[in-house]
Amino acid sequence: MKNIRKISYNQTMLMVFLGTAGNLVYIHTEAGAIAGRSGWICTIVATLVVIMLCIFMVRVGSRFQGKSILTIIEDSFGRVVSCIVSIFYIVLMILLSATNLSLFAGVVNAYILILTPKWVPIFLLLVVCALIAGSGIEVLARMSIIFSLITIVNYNAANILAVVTTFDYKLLLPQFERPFITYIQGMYLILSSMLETFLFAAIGIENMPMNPRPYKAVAKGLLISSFFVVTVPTSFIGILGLTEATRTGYVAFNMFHGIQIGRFIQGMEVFVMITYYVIAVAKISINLFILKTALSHIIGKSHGRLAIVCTTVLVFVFFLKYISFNKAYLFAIQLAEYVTLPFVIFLSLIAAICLAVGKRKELKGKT
Amino acid sequence: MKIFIKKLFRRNTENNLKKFEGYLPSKEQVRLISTSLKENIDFIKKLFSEDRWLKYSEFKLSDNGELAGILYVEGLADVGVVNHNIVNRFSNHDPAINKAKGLQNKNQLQLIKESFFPTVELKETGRMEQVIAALLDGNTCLFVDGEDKALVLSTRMIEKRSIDTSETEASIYGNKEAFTEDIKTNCMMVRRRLPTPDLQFKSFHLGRLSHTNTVLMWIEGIANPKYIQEVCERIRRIDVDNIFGVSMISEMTEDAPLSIWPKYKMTEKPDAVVAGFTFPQTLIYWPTRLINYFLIAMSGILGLYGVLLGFTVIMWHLVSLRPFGIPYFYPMAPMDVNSFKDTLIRAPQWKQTKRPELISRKNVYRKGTGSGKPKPPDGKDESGK
Repeated sequence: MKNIRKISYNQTMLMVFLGTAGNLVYIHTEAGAIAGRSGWICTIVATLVVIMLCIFMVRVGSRFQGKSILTIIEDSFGRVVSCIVSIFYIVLMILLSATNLSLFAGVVNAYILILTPKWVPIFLLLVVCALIAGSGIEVLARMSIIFSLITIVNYNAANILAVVTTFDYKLLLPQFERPFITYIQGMYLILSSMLETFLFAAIGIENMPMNPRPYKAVAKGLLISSFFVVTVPTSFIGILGLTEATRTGYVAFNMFHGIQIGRFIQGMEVFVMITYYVIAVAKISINLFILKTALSHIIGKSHGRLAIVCTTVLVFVFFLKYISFNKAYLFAIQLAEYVTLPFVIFLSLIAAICLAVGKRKELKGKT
Repeated sequence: MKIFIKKLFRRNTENNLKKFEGYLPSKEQVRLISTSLKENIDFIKKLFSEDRWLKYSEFKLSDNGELAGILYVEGLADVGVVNHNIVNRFSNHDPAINKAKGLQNKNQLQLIKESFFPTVELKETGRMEQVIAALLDGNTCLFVDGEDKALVLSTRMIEKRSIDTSETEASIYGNKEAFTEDIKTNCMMVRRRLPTPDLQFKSFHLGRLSHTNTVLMWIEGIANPKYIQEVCERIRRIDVDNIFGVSMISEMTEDAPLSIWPKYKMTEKPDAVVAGFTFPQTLIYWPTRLINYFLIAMSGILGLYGVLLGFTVIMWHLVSLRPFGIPYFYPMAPMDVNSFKDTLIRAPQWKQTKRPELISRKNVYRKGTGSGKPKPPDGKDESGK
C-alpha cells in the first residue's frame, strides 16, 4: 500500500475523459447511423448507465481501501482466480489497443503519411506511449492534463468555426423519427464502447484519491466525454446532413476541410488531426498502463518495465494482424458488444460478491 | 553470465570504495585526545611531518607548573588575531589571579574559557580528527596538560574582496551588488534584504578533502518542509573529495542530470535570491532553442506527425522531471489554476495574491488585502475635493 502513487481529483477526471473519448472518437457517428438524428439520446442514456456501473466499481474499490479489482479478487478468491481474471484483462486490453491503433493508422494513412507504411508511425507512437505508461501513473496523469487541454481547446475551436459558418438547424429535424428499437441498438453500441472506462476505473481505483470521493471524478469525466459525443455528431448532422454525416469515412476531416472564412482561415482539418493524435496517444498510454498493472499482478510488481515491454510488443503484433481500417472498425464494434460488455458484467458481479464476502468477514470479526 | 556480470560490477565498486577510503581521515587520526600535552603535540607534529607552517607556543598556567599549548597553521590562521586574542592574554596573565578569584577548583579548560576567552568564539572537542580538521580550517587549538579535551578558537584568516557589481547579470534599475567568495558576507547580504527570523540557514561541510562550507537558505513558513528535507538529504548524500563550485553541488543533487532543461537558477545577485524565495523560476530559453533543431529534424522525416511525436516526447520528458520533488511542469501538470497567473502570461503584480500552493502549502497568501489594484482614493474628483 505504501508504494501506491495517488493522482489528483482533476487528473482522475481528465484521464476518464480521454479514455472514453479515445474509444468513441471513431464510432460516435455509428449511433447516428442506427438511431438517426436522435442518436444523441443513445449517448446520454449509455453515459448514465456507465456512470452507475463505474460508481459501483469505484465504491467497491474505496471500501477495500483503494485496492484494484485484481487485488480485491486475490484477497477474496485467492491468487489463481485473480491471475485468470488478469489474463482475461490482458487479452482484452491488447485487442482493444490493437484495434484502436488500426483505426488511428487509417486516419494517418489517409491524411498525413499517405505513402509511408502504416506500421512505421504506429510503431513510433507505441514507443512514445510505452514511455509515458512506463513512467508511472503520475506522469500519465500529468500528460492527461496537457492532452485534455489540447483536445478541448483544439477541437472546440474548429467545431465552433464549423458551426458558425455552415450549421443549419433544419438538418437536425425531424427528431425521433426512427423506431424505438433503433435507440436501444444505438444505446447498446455506445454503452459497450464506453465500458472501456469501467475497465480503467476497476484497475485505476488504487491510484485514485479517496478524498474527495473518486466516483465523482469518474462521473464528471464521463459527463465531459459524453458532452463531446453528443455535441460533435449533432453538429456534424447539422452541417453535413444525416446521410453524409453517418456514411462518410473520417467525417470530421471532411467537415473541417470545408471551413473557409476569407482566404486565410481554411485547411482546418489539421486541428482534427492533432486532436485524433492526442486522443490516440492518451488512450493507448492508458491501455498500456492497465496492461502493465495486470501483467505485473501476475509476474510481480518489481517487473513493471518487463511488463510494459512485453505488452507493447504484443499490442504491436496484434495491430499488424488488424492493420486494415475496415477490418479493425468491425472488429472494434464486435469486441465491444460481445466481449467487453459481458466481461464488465462479469467483473461487476465478482466485485459484488467480493463486497458481500468482505461484509461477512467484517461481521464475523465484530461478533 | 548474469551472476558473472554482477560479481564483476560488485568487485569494481568495492575496489573504488577501497580507493576512496584513502581520502578519509586515516585510522591513526581517529582517536581521542590524550591527557598528556606532550603526547598530543608530538602526535600532531608527526602527522604534519614537521610542517614549518605549523606553529606551537607553550604557556604556564599556574605556579604549580601546569602547562597549556596552542597550535595553528600560519597562513591559514590570522597571526594577528592569534597574537592579540590568545598569545597576549596568556602572556599578560598572572597565575596568582586564579587563586584570588576562587577558580582553582574548576577544571582548567573551564577556567581558561571563563577567564581568558569570555567573548571569543570557541568550541570544545575530545577528538583528535576534529582538532586536525579545525587546524586545517585556520583555527587555533589549545591543549592543556592533564585535560583530555581541546579548545578550538576561531582565528581563520579571511581574505575577501569587497562587494562589487555583477559582471554577468547587469541590472539597470535594481540593486547592483553581487555575491563575493565569502559565504558569511553572502549570507548577510541576503539577510539584510530579508530581515526576518524566518530566514533560516543550514550549514553543510562538503568534500572529504575540501570541507567546503555550504549554506542552504529558506524562509520558514513559506517553503514546504517536505522539500527542504529532501534538499538536505540530497546534500548530505554528496560524498566526494572536493567541491569545485555551486554548479557541482547542483549537478550532484538534481534529478535527471543529463536533461538539458535547467532545474535551478544560478545567480550572483542577492536580490535575485530574495526574489527566488517567493517567485521560483528557471530559464528555459536556451534549451528551447536547442529543441527546435530536434523538432525540425522530426518534421523533416515525418512531417506534421513527426512534430506531434517530437512534441509528445518533449512533454513526456518535462512532465517526468521532478527536481527536488517538485514537478517541473507545475502549475500546468499537476494543475493549479491559481498559480497560472505567473506561468504563460504574467498577470500584474497586484493580481498575484497567492504563492504556488505545492511549494508553500501553509502560507499561501503573499499579499494583504490592501495591496489590490492601484486607484485614486474614493470620493475625490480631479480637483482633489
